[in-house]
Amino acid sequence: MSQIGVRVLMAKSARVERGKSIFLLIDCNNFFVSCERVFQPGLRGRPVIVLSSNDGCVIARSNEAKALGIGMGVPFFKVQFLCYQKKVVVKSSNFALYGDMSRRVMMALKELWSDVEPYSIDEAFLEADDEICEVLGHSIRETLLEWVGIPVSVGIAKTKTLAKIAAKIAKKDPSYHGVYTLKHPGVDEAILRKLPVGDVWGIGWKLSRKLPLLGINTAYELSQASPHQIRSYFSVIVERVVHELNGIPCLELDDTVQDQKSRIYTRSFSKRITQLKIAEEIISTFATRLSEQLRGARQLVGGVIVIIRTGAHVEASLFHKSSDYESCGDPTSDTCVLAGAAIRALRRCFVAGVPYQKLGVILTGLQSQDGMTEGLFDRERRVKSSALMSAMDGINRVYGADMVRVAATGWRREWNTKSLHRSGAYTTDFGELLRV
Amino acid sequence: MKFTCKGSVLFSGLSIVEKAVSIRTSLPVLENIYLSLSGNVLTLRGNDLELGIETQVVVDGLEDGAVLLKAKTLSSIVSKLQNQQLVITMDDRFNVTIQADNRVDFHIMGLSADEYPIFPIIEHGTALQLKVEDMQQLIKYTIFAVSFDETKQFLNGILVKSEGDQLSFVATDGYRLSIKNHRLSSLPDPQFSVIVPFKVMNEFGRIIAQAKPDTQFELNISKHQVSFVIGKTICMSRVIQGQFPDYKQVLPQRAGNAFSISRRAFLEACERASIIAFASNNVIRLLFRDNVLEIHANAQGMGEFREELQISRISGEGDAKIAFNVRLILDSIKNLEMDDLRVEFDNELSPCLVKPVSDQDYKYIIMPIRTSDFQQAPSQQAETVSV
Repeated sequence: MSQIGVRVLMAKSARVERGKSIFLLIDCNNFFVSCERVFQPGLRGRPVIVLSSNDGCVIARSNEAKALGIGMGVPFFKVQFLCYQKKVVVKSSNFALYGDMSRRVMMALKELWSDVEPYSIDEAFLEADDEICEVLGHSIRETLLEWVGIPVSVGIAKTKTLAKIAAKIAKKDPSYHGVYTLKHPGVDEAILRKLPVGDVWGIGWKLSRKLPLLGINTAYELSQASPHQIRSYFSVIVERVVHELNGIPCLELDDTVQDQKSRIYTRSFSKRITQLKIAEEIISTFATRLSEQLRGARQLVGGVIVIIRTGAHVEASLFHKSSDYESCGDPTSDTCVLAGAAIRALRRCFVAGVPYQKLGVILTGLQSQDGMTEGLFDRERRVKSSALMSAMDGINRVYGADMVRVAATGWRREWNTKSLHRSGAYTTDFGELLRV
Repeated sequence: MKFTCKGSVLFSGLSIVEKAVSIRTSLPVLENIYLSLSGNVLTLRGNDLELGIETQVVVDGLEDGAVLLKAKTLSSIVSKLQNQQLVITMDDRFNVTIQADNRVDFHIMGLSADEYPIFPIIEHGTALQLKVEDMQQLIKYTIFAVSFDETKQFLNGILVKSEGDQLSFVATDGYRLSIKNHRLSSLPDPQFSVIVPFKVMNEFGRIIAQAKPDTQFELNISKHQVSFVIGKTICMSRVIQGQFPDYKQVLPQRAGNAFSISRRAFLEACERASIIAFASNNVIRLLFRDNVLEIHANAQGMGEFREELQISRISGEGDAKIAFNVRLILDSIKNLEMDDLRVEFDNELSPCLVKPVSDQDYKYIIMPIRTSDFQQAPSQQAETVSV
């Protein structure tokens, strides 16, 4: 263990005293690009972009790519020539790798500090004592780079909302060496005055259009607004934002592990889907993936929602979007049951001949298998289903994904999404281990 | 049609039949109450095509006739005139005038009674005579276990079944099963087995709550309909079509562990445990030792609960543990009146039988909860399937 690691672990023993505590936001820099760079160090210093599923849009950019003017969410075809000209490295999204790297970052953080709240795939909040927070921030930054290889920025402030702003500053200005503390009154005010209100955590685009009608255009103006008035116009959530901007913590660190309440699997396809049979293969494949996730998380679901839609630019007469719900009966994670339910829902909303671009399956109202009352009348079926799913998962784990699958998912799978530049699943698949 | 009566008399009849009036329906005529006067007897009916209720009140009849009036309007008016003497008159265009003490006049529009659905009569069914108090127990001990899952309509009611001279009420939501038996004074002919909707049982339970416990009423059951007749009130309903699950197959045949426990102490402990369990899927863990029951509940980010109760072991040996949804336990034991309960289960995955020590006619079967610390889930058991 490095000296840095030792130092942080020592700090871990210090209990955080409520009232004197301060929040740290650990935000991974250009996370997807950073994950690619861990296994391809040659990408460091070069412009890199990561594309969404089906290689559609730009979803992550290195600082060098940002400097070239490649925007976030831009369709790839619009910047394809620029990428060719400037030798930008293009990567297809590799969510297996990013998910696993995120898990490693969160595990490292929990190893280093006790009060950790994973917030998103590349962000986590920590709560620490005011006196040690900056040392802790620098230590965590260096330790994560050494242990996981991911560069992070650390924002430090009295509230979560201010910590988000601080992290943004730490990320943008290299002179802060990746750690910025927002607790200097004069400086803070200047920062808040410059920050558009729409960039404040918790202010969505709808609110960012309404607030200017009240003369609130910046984070500072929002912080000076009457909380009571803000609550009467909007909600208690926006009132909390006002308090948080004034350094009054309203959001506590939530370090309890929350089960996922819903899961979604959607994809856009470059080749339009016009045949029901193909759509059924896609939908049952998505249901299969989700049911595997459910079993991994020991969760069950009572039904599935299928969504389908054409592209936004299709001829008006062909535009169609629809969704439908199908119950599975008793809560289950059985692939056969979920795929069957998804297909039945799809058949109700699919119109043959319409060129569908996006299809998806949504599972909501997930329940933990732990804490579920056993059914009185379906015990035999449940035991058989569990045995079958365990066997399927076991075979697929050993011999590769989809070695055994439900026949409805098809064999040729010509609809598979485009992923021309995907790197290997270096950390999750033995077959794709990095060779050096 | 013309009659006079005290407002409270008419209101008592309306409050019974309006339970069967549809609030939101595709057939507007069902939003009405049917009133028909014959001599001094005013017949009132409500009908939502699932449940129909008819009752009669005695008035001073002046001119026979029948009319349909909006249930909500009529009920609202009469509820405000309960202490007054009403004179109700209908003209030949079905417009009704309600006068109270010559000071208040309401003119409301009615409809022809011919448009109202016919009130069905059960002709070839089984007729039973039961006491109100017996019926109240049959309903009370089972109705809470009815399922409201619309995808399982056959569980949306109580199974009313005869076997020899035994009448059984059975309800289940797929996680617990409640059975109450009652011995009949005569053998029903023919035997029957029907699922009576929750709403019907619930409404009939309310109607008989006004009657004396030893009042006799008539229960008529046919293949497609069921009716209850008490005094001047008839409650008629369709039965739910569908196959009720074979509940006998889940009745525990043997139990490795059996304990006797005070119902009141158990109820109070479960109510205390539910304060914490509420935040964690209502899970409580029961740990049975020889003469002590430990009840545990914990919720992440909230706290823990532990309580010990004195129990008596009837059979089995060693410690036994099982986890339940505390709501499912409370639903049953708070309805009971007996002092001691017998709790039987084989292992932490098997159905648990709860029954009063002094009442062999009631059984409550409740399924345990899967908890990783208490038991192996079926999926883990299935890991033995080799790959």
